[in-house]
Amino acid sequence: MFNYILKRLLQMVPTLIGVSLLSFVILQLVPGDPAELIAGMDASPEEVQIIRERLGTDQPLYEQYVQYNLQLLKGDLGTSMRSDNPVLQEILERFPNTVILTLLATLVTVVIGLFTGVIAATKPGSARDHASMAFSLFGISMPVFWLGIILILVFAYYIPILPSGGSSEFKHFILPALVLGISSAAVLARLTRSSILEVINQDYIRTAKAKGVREWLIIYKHALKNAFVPIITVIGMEIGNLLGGAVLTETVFSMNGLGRYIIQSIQFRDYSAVQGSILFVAFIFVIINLLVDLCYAAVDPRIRYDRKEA
Amino acid sequence: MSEPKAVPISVQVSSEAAPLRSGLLRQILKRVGSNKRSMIGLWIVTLFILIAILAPWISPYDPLEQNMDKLLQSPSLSHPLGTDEYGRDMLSRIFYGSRISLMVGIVGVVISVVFGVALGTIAGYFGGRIEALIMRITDIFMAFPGFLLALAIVSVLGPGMMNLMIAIGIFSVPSFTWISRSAVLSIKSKEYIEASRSMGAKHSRIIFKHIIPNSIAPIIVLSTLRVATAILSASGLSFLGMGAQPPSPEWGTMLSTGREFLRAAPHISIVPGVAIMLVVLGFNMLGDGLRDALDPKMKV
Amino acid sequence: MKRKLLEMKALKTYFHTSEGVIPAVDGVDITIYEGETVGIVGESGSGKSVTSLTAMRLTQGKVEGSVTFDGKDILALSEKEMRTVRGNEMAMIFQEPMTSLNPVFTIGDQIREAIRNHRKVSRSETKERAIELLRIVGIPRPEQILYEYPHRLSGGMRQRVMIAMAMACSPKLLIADEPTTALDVTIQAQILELMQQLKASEGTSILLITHDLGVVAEMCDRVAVMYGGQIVEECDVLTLFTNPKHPYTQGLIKSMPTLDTNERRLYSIKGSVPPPGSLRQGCRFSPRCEYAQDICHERLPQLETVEDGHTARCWLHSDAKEAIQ
Repeated sequence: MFNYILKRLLQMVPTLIGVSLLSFVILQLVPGDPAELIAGMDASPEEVQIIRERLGTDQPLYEQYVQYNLQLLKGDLGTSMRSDNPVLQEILERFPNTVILTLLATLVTVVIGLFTGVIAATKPGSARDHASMAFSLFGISMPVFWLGIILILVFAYYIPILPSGGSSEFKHFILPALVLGISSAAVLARLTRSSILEVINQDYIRTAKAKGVREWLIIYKHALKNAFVPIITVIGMEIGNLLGGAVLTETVFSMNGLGRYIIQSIQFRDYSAVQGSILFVAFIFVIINLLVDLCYAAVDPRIRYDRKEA
Repeated sequence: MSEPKAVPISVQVSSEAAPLRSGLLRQILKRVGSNKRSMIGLWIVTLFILIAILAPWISPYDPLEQNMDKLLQSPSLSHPLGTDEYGRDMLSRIFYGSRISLMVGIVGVVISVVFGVALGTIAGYFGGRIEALIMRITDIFMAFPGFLLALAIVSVLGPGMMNLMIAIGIFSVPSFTWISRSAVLSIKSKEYIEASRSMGAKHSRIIFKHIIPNSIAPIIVLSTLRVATAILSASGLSFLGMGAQPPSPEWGTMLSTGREFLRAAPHISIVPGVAIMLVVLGFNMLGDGLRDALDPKMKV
Repeated sequence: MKRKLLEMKALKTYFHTSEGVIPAVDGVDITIYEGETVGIVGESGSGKSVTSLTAMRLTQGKVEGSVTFDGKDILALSEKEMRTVRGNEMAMIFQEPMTSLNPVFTIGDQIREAIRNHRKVSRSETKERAIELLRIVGIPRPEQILYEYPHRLSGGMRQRVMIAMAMACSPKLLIADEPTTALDVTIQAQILELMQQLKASEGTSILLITHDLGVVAEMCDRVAVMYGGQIVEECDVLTLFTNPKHPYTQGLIKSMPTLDTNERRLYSIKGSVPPPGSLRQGCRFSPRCEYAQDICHERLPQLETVEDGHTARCWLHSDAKEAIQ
């Protein structure tokens, strides 16, 4: 088990390097000279040059890349062109809100998605199966931002019980979490259903039945644990999508989170903030992937001991 | 009862090598036709494609024509879907909007398919270092959620329809790379490929004659489903202001501007959302139906 | 006089599929007495597996007829009552040991579950009993194997674990569906020997499903031969090999290669097993039968007594034939 963790940690390194390289390359592709952008239209060439030196963009690319990596290792994600604050600081001010939103949304996703998938899978072809899958189909086809707007209409305007914006109190998170969660729940419901159906037809389920195990135990103990591997995969993927959807949701609900920060930075052409944010997000993803892999190992003993035999 | 006669070898090999000939195609069409879900999907998609093509002829008004004395009107007989904040007819704007969404979605996916399948087929067929390199890069891209990737690309390129199409085109490439590589790997090991090779066929011939026709099925399914994702993402990006700019009647953009008038005229935001949902639903149902028809066990 | 343990009468099991109704089991009578080993022989598609699954009520198909086990009407039991029978009084082991054990639970967990389902015992008692069972089935170092996962064990070991689980509550009847088919020949012999030992020590009756006549010769007291969802011959094992009456049985016996076979070509019954659901009039074996006559193609023969304790479903050996003609 320890070896497995170590191996996965080591695999993280090239991915992180790849991401930092990618991020660097993308920024270089942005048209225009950042120094000129910062200095403004009426700046003199000397002023632009000063800014250029300060940014380090007058160095050859290779050196810039090295500088860039050194900064990263120190935890410096650059300075916001808009506010002059360190990007990392601005991210950390807002990130907790996004985290809370994502966690709540994940909770909604898992509860609704698993439940819907299980009730569909346990009576395939029945009315409840069709209803669950219809819900799922609509859920994956609905734009997240539209659902948010509809819910705002219903719960903030017509029946004013929840706020339509902000992120300072817990109640601000209810609607956004629901919105985000439902879209992902739809995806999870389908996957759970097909995963369980596949497991239910396996021989070892027949053995359990032949031993006299109770019906619900067969589903929740024998089938579900085996169905978990693909389910965890999807949950991991969905957390990724949730972070992506958080961008939209935070915008719709005017929440002060990392998603909205990214959008604002893009709109204001604050490229260092954008770059820093991308890196930060990528780093979070890599961590999430690692955690998901560890979950696999916890659930499926074949992965734990020897990959080959899985 | 007599035993079946032995079939000549040449017939056996060629029927193996070209499984998408008429018999199988008819079978597939029959299965799609009998699946209610995919038929509904097909109707919806066809409907929207027709709307998109015929938009200039079926729109009652010019989608860009402003009418200051008819602002924010609710749905009525003269304007079945109401008017927006500039007095423009919503119905016409929805019709024209379908052109944008469908074009971005379909063109985007076509780009993805071309590049993704090329990369995946090369990776799967040639193996070794090439495969390792391609797949490693693909893995890095796949670790990112698609929407954020598209957002990153659009933020670099700048807003606008063209850039939106490019971003959408790029963000689906990893999926197609992955799936075509899997398909290639599973076909590569089949005997008729070895038979072809031993008869001296060139790589390109093998690829185009055997490998691609056999890997088409999952690609078709994935394409349909990715159009759905593409349309959703494109409208999301437009909602954020990254895509088509006003006064363009893109559905996502309309939703975004409609937010300001949510209380007074909710239809401005509701209607485009319904349109998006319907078209995406159509493609999803069609994709599901195709998947069931082509191979219910396909892991797409 | 021995007691009847399992009696299946006029058993039919249907499946509704998109291609129509398929009667996988089409009128089967089987009786197993205490202490017997009865074999059902047939090729794939004969309905032998479905018959055994029906006895345990593990199929999805519709069942007609009657199944009486130890005096209980199995088909009339509620699912809850049936659960108390499964794994407890009637147990089953399957063909594929590689996939019949749940990969995410330890061997110990799975055996102990088999015990706990039917007996109220403490955790330490289940642990001891599990170790004892593993020892009985010949698994080395049972205390350690208890904590292992199935994928670490070989096919033969897994099948022993399956047997251990099945025997956990000392069932009166053990149903074994092709228990050795997926195993190497040397392991096969070991597993069969294990089953013989258990039968001797526990007094369990065995219903053995197989297509392998060698297994039949070694294990069974009586044998029923199935074809096309029906029994075509039933007799004791010695008679099966020395005096088979039904042409299908004869064909099966003839196709077994023996050490003194001088032929260059092995005998095989011409034609192939009809897929279930493609029923025809008349005897189901008639298309492949060397001795088929007109009546064979037209009317389905019934299972009739040919000698004492020996029945066959064939017009060639039927008394009724003359009556009809």
